[in-house]
Order: sequence, then structure tokens, then C-alpha cells
Amino acid sequence: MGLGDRLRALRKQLQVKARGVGEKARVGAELLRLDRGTLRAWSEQITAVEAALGQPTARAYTELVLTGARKQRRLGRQLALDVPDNLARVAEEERGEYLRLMGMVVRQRPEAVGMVARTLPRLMERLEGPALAKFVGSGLEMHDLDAGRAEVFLKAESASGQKELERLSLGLPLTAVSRTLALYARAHCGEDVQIRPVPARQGRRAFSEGRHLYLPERVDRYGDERDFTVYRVLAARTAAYIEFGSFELDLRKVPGEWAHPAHDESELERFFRSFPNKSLARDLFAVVEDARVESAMLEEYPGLARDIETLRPDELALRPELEDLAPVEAMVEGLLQRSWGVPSPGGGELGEQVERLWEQIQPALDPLASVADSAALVPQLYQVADALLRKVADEPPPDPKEQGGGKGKRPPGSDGSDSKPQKASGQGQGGEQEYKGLEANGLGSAMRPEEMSPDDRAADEQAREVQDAMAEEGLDATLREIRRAMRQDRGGDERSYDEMVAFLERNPPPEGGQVEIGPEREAIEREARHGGRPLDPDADPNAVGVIQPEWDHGIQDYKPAWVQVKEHRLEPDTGEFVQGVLDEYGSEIRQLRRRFQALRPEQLRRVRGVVDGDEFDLDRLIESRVERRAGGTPSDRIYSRHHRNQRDVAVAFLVDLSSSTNEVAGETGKRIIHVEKEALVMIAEAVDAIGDACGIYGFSGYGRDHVAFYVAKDFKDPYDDSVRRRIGRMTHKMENRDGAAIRYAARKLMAQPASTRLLVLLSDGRPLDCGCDAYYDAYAQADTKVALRELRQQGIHPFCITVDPRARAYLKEMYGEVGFVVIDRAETLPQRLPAIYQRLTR
Amino acid sequence: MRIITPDAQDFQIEQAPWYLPAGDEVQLFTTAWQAKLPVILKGPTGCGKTRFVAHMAHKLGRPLVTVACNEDLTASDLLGRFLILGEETVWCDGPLTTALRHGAILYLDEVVEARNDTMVVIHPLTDDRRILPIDKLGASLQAPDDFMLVMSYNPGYQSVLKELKQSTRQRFISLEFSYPEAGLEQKVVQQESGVGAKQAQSLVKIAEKVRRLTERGLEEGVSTRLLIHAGTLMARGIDPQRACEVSFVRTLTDDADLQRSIHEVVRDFF
Repeated sequence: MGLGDRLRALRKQLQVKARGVGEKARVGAELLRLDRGTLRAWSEQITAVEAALGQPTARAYTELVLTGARKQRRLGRQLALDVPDNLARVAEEERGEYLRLMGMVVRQRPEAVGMVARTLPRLMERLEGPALAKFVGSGLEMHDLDAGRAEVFLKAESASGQKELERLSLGLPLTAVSRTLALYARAHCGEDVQIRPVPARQGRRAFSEGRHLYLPERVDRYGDERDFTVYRVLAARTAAYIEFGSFELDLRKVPGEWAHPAHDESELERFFRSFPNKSLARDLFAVVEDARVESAMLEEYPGLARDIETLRPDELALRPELEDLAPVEAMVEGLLQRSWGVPSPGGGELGEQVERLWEQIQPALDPLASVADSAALVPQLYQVADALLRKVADEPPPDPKEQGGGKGKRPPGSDGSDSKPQKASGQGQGGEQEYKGLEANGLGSAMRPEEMSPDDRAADEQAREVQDAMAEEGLDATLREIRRAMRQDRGGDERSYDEMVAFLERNPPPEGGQVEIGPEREAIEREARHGGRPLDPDADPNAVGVIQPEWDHGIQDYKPAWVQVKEHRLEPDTGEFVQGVLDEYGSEIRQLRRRFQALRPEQLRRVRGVVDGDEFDLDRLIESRVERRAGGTPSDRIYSRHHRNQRDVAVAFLVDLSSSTNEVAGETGKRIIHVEKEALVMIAEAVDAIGDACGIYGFSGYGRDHVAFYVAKDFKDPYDDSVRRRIGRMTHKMENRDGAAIRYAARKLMAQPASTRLLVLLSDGRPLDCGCDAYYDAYAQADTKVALRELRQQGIHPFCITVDPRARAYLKEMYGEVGFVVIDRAETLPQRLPAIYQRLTR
Repeated sequence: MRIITPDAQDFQIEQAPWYLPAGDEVQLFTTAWQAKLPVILKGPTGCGKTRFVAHMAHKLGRPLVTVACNEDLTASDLLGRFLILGEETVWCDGPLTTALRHGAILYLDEVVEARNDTMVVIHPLTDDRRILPIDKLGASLQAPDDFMLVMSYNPGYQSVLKELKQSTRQRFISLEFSYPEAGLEQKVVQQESGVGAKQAQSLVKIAEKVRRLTERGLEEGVSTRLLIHAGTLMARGIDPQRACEVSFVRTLTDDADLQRSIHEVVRDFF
């Protein structure tokens, strides 16, 4: 039997489906020549691989097996058997990377193939890009010395492996840079965009759906400053879709007939739907639009070119090899690589064709081009691709010489045989199956209109209706302008709702959707139900709530209208507490009053003997005259002027009344709340003596709807016994939502006509409010920090005093921007507080 | 008694200050001057208010008396006071009186910085009487037709304390100033700093982006004046990124995240 006969027999033997047989036959023939065992192993696997992992992956797998078999006979067999199962463990978008790395191992250290094939999937969950390659590289080097050790290393079981992995996978987390990036993106596109982490189901690719920028949770590609550059470029690129209007497609401005608009569908989705093969249209559009946006971006931001240039080689390395791809995919990918500056990618016929197509899309790169110009170019590219697709499908043995394309015998929608003009008749399903596209590799477009939330869709649809109505009137406005106007009309409702949704997504309610109620609360509530009294005996049932915003560090933005604060005026107590304080601190209080009275400035001070002023200083004037008459040199300091009272201070003391203040402080046996109250009486005496305006407040509550703000002394109240007895009324209550109380106290302070405003916060340093919307740890600390920052912006000087004996590390983070002091012995607070106040207002 | 009035020549503006009109402000100001109406210039710091007044004074050929207002400014600082010179007692005119005598333009810069009780002395000047009573001299001066009162203030950093009283405010017509639009601002930066057109354009684009952050913790956007500073440094050979860094990135805010964001915006252009 001659070779030709054997090939024919083989072709029959391998015939599974009509398509792709030619290629398989060629591979089979080569494997047969190289190693029968490899051929057997490969043909056992390939059908399953194709079915489970898709054509492009299967082709790359076959390519890998061939490379192995060409190198060593056994290697081919090993690869054919080992790779498929391990490949299936790798995330879809990373399979290309897996096969590329395996290719590298085959070329460099064929003997380590089995080991790497096994260990790689786990590693890929933690590392990516150059960091991954580096780690595998270290493992391979180790393999030369000790194969066993290398495997342990690559499994990250050994200490050195773990350490290295840690080092490489540490990377830069999004949370560390998201505020900077959000501000940066906002400065860029002028829209109030938010940064969110890419949802897990979307892999690691950054994208935008037109409202938000979704960025990977961490970048660990380089392990140095370049990781930030990666974030920066990702943010700039995704923001550029918004800035340069990629989501503002208006199909009325694109020549051609398009699918009928469907409900809740963005214009981009409608555009893709107008083609029989949506994936192909989508990829072609993405390539053109990305090229347009990038050229606009580089025109606008020349400095960005440097960063893109820095990263481009590594980004190109992540793209699939053109020869691994089916002809149409190779064409699309080639066009993309051409737009990234690779001249004639793939070379030969393919390269020439890509160059021709690249010529065709030049109009989109004009600085004045819009998304409509990009869209207008898609049909002609689609024709070329579709023709190529059909040719590949119709003629099983591929003949590369025939792949000229460009004839476009059957452009989409021009058959006329179908009733729907937009659908190309009878070819749709064939194309759809054949073309997997860039999306299959997870390398597709970063524009994902389909990710838009239902609310954004609804808003978009409304905006489009307005746009239509305006167009009929002959007015022209972009969707963005309309949306913005609509948002302003509604007073920013949309945003707040959006943010609440984001918040709730991150913080699902406890199971069953019920708010957890602690035993203490339950008791109070039971009591309330039976006795018909409010939950808190100090709460004023008629108090009117004030709605305030809150900072959510997760979205790095405010949630407007999020917290309700109610003000309750404390009733004077029996006076027992005050008597106790006066008994214990009587002499100290008298001393304190004397000390602070000495600091009290006169209302108007006259400064005498100055060189110019409002009035003559009569004594000096006469002296000077006398001196002159006597022939001496008179002093010219003969004026006096008024200096206004420089001390013009309003101070608010804000005390945390949460349940934790019920703890015992130090060795005195007194509770923290008791010591704090003593300190308040002392400071109230001192401030009264010095004459500053003063307010004394406490706060507690539970949940964002029930922040309670208790008033012991308002600014307008004179300091007297009833104030002391109101301080006595303060008790420990429930939780402490510090940010809300700080913002509310700021309102009180801003209403005071003083030139210096001071807020002194007395707390145990743990903002905590576990209502159904948990306020604790990082979230609570960030809100507190932002609230204090707001105060400074309003010109209020905040100062925080913490009586937490275990001084915590986060205090510096939370209070670091403002002044703070940690008092390690709470029982010293009554003496320390006046001293601190004196220093603060010196 | 001798009265000392500083020479009008001292307040004359010789060189025409360069100014690019952004709208109808030149015409409005001229008309107000002719109609004897006082004017408030409202606008953020460093957007060209002071330059505009100087330009107008030169254009109208009037001397310009400028007072930089502050909290310690008293009525007698404005009106004048008695001084003893050798044997005699002389009256020395303050800037307000001086401006009145010369028929000058009196420019009260950053007027909210002055205390409200001080500003009351200008009230009689701002209605149709146009007189300035000086108690200490026992006289009342009638403002000549050429005299004009101009104040400026920056609504950006209004606090409860530093608000212009309605009784003062309602005597003026208001000309609103903002940063010039991009093309104009580019010309201004180019002209004033000597930097090239391309770099001036980049500076203006940066400014446009940074000003979008004013609701996000930035108290005020980058002013045209700061852009000119950056341009001046660049024109003298300082690296552009560095020039922006010292001219406005560090100046605008102490918030580290914000600084970084602004820095990254700068990097996009240089």
C-alpha cells in the first residue's frame, strides 16, 4: 500500500465529522510518521477535547502534541494523555496561557513536562503573566538539580516555594488604589464613574458597561511600580470608552438597515444582533472601536503613550499565536495585532489581507471620527470575514492560497430569500458554530454593554426616548448629556439607588432576611411593646430625623441620604452624680476655674504706644511734646489702637455612649462612662470659666435609621446646675456610629458664629454599629476618617481622645489626619481633659 | 491744617496690562463706570480679576488705588488719620479718601476678609448720594464723576463668618468671573509664561481635568495663575512634570490620594 492509499484509509478512519477533517488528516499523517503511540493517544483524546474545550483550544492542544512528538517520541504520547485533564482544570480564558507555558517547557526542559502539566493549574489560580512565567522558570531551574524538590516547589508546598509564591502573588490590590483611580478616571471623562472589582464569573479582564469601570482585584504581573501602571492604563482605557463615547452609538447615524429595537436593549447590542453571527460582528466592532478610542486617547494624552508602550510587549505576549487559530479568527486577531502596531501580522497572505483591512478602517482613526464611524465600517469587514468563513466551511481541505477574501459574494442581508432583511438566510447557524472568536479565549472586547444593570438600561431607554423626541424637534443631544440632565432633575436619586444596590450586593442580609436582634435589644423591645414606651427612655418620640450621607469605602463614594440622626434632649437627673463629682473634685474644680479665668481675654484690649493707631495715646503724646520742648528726640509711639478679642472659640464635646463604655476603667472600679462624665463636668467648668461657647453631646443608637444624638448642653444653654444634672443623665446605650454623630455635631458647630470651631470626640476608638447594615472595622473606620476630613474642610478642628487602654494600630489610620491622643488610663481623664483643651486653644 | 494726599501719579498705570476679554465684561465695566455704578467681581482665586481691574483702569485712564483687605483693616485705615509732623498736626488721607480726591478706581481686593463693620463706611458712596462723610475732619467729600468703587471676592471659600452682608452686597452690580475657556486660557498661559503653544495647551487640558475634582475633596481647582507659574518654570527649562508638581499638584491639596490622582493626570500629558 502506497503512502497515498494509507492516507486515504487514515482519513476514513478518522472521519468523525465533515468539518476539520482535512486538518486532522494532516496531523494524523504526521503523527503516524513520528510515533504510532502518540497518534493513538491523541486520536483517543481529540474528540473529547474538541467537544469539551472548543476548537481553538483543541487546535492548540494538537499543536502542542505535535511539537512534543517532533522532539521526542515519548514526549508526544505523554503530552497527548496528560494535558487534556489538566487543561480542563484551568479557567477558560487561561487555557491559551497554559498551552503556551507547556510549549515553553517542551522546548526548554522536556523532561519536566509531566510535572509542570500537573502543577500548573493550581498555580494559575494564584499567579498570572510574567510573574507566573518567572515562578515556573525557577521551578524548572530547580528541576535540573533535583526533580522531586522542583515538584514540591511548584506545588508551593515547600517553604521556599510558598515564600516565592507569596512574593510574586502579593501584587497590588485594587482597594489600595481605587480612590486614586476613581478620581483620576473622573478627572478624565468628567462622569461620576465608580470603580468596582471585576465579578468573579468574568475572570480577570477589566471592562466597562458604560457606567462603571470594572478592574481586576489585584495586579501582580510585575511585582513593582509597573503594576500601578497596569491599573492606570486599564483605568484610562476603560474610562476612554466613556470619554470618547463608545457606548453612545446611535444607529440612525450609521448607514444601513438594523434590527428592530427590542425592549431593554442597548444600541450596541441591537447593532450586534443585526448580524447573523453576533460574535463575529462584536469582535470586528471591538477591534475597530478599540483602535479608534486608542488613537483618540493617544492624541489627547500624549503621556499615556509611554505607559502603553511599556506594557505592550507583555500584552502582545498574552495574545494567541496566529498560526494556532482558524483562518477567520486569525484574520480578526491579526487585525487587532495590526492595530497594536505589529506590521503585517502572520506574514504572507494573512499579513497582506490584514494590511488591506487595516487600510479600510483608517477612516475610524480620524480624530473627529465617532463610534458611528466605527460601526459603519463593520459591515464591510463582516462581508470579508463571512465569505472566508463560508469558504472554510464549504471546502473541507483548506487551501491557504484561496484565502484571498474580499469578494463578498453574499453580504449579510443581501440574499433577499428571507423575509427578515437583517438575517442572512440559512447561513447563520453554520457561521455561529464555526467562529468562536476572541471572546472564547477571554480576550474579547472590554466593552460589555450586556453587563448593564436593569436600572441603567431603563435610564438609557428613557434617555433614548428623549433623544428621539428631541430629534423630531430638530435638536441634537448625546445620550450622555440627556442622562446627566435627567439625573439632575431627579436630584441624584438614580445614583443613590445605584449605590445602595452596590452596597447591598456586597453586604447581603443575614439568612432569612431577618435583622439579628441581640438579647439586650430584644428585652428592650419587648418592654417597649408591653409598656408602650419608646425603646430608649431618653429618646424623644417626637424627634425629627435628619438624613445624612455616609462614606462607603467599598465603592469609595458617598451613599447620600443613608443615615437618619435624631436629636434627643436629656432630662436632668436627681443630682446624685453631680454631688458625687463635687465631693470628689471640689477643690480641683475651684483651681481649674481660677486657671481658666486667667486665660479669659478682655473683650477689647487697648494697645498703647504704637506708631500708628486709631487714637492718640494722651500720656505718650504729652510726654513727647514735653520731650520736644526740652530739646530732646521725641518718641513717635504716640498712638493707641484697639485689638479685638482674639479668643472666639466654639467647642463641641461629643461622647460615645455605646454599650462598651460600661466596662470598668482601670483599678478605680469606675466604669468608663462614669469617668467620661466626670471629665465632662470638669471641662464644662473650665470652658465656662474661660468664656468659650460650648456644647456637650452624646451619641449612640442602632442601625442607620436610629442614630441617637443626645443633648446635655446646647450652645445656647447657660452652664448651670441643670446642665450638670443632664450630664449625670448620660448612660451607656447601644452602638456607636461615629461618622453620623460627627457629621451631626458639625451642623451644630457651623451654626455657631465663632472664628475657631473645635470638635472634641471622646470615644473608645471602635466605631461599631451592627444593624442590618453592618458598620464595623474597615467600613466604619473609613467613614469616621472621612467624616473628620469633612470637618476640616468646613474649617472645624477635630480632636479625638480615645480611652482604649489597648491602643490599636488602626487609630493612626482613622484619626491620623486630625489630632488625637490615646489615654491609656481612663481614670486620669478628668484631669487630662482640661489640660488637653488648654493646649488645643492656646 | 495741612492735608496730605498721595499723588495721583503714584496710582497711574503706565503700561497697558495685557488682558483677553472672555465675554462682555469690558463693555459692562465701562458702562458701569460711566453710569457711576459700583461693581463686584466674583470669581475663584487666580482667574484674572485683579488683572482685569488694572486693565480697565488703564483703558479708562484712571488711577487705580488697591486695598488688600484683611481682618485688621479699620475704618480709619481706609479714610485716613491725623499725624503729627514736627510742630504741626496733619491729616493723612487713607486710600479711600485718596481715590475719591483723584477720581480714581478704588479696588477692594478680597473684600470678605475685612470685617463687616469696617465696610459700612463705604455705604454712603454706593448710593446716589456718592458722598464720603469723614467725621474726624468734620467734612463730607462728594465723589467726582470719575470715581468708581470696585470690590472682588471669592465665593469659593465662603464660611459662615466670611459672608458679605446683604446690605453691602445689594449695592453693587456683579460681574461673574470664572477660569477662561480653554482656547482663551491657553493664549493667556502662553502669553504670560512664555511657554510654547503645545505645552500651554497641555497645561490647560490638565487644568480642565483637575477642576472636575472640586466636588471630590478639592477645595478649589487649579487657577490660571498656577498654570502660568508652571508654564514659567517650564519655559525656563524645568522638566514639565516637575514644574506641575511644584506649581500645583502639591499646592492644591494635602490629601495623598488626590495628589496622586492629579499627578497621574499630569503624567498623561507630559
